[in-house]
Amino acid sequence: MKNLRMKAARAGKDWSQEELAEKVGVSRQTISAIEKGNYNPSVKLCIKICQALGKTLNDLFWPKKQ
Amino acid sequence: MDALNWIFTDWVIVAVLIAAIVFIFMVGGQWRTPHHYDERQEAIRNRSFKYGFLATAIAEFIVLFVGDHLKWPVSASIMPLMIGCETSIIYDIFKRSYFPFNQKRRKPKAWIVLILGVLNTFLCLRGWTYNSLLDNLNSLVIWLGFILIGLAILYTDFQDKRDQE
Repeated sequence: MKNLRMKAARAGKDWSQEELAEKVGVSRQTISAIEKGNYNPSVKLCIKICQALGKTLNDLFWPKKQ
Repeated sequence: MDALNWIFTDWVIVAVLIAAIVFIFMVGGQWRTPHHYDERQEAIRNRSFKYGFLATAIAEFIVLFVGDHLKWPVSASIMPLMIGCETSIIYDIFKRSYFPFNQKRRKPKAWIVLILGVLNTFLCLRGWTYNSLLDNLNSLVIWLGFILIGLAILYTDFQDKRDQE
């Protein structure tokens, strides 16, 4: 499942995947894989991403009710 | 009795070797310079080691049957190891986990590996006129692996650049 909320939050900050990756301390491909839904990050990495983007875990990673 | 002593000595040597290797890996890890793989890369690298090991086991099994027909059977024992390493490396490259995420200047490395591979494959193919096919297959596997690794790095770099644009 694609993580469009994370992509939107990143775009909102006007950051490239490379920039976010650098801030979080992972590879650009890892950010790309998370956004595409090809990789489920650990809670530790989720928290780092949320801190970098100024969002909460609920905002970015909690599944929305159908 | 003498034979028994020899077998016992062999076992002791093997046991000491294994213990030494395990010790080096366990203690040596503390002084290892920290690498910069992220958690996704670590997970993929662990999987690639598994596939590399499986590839080695399968190749070893094949060599078991072919080995007797080779001129230099000892050199054939290197082939499964190389196949395992190449499987692991190429899997890592395609999953973008071969290079640590902060490593730059990948292209020159890819070109060096590619040129080495092409030159030596050419020499290998030329050598086929002098040696048997199976004996040269050993070095061919190694150098074709170099070509594949070089091409894989260049291809993934190209794909990444396109992905970024």
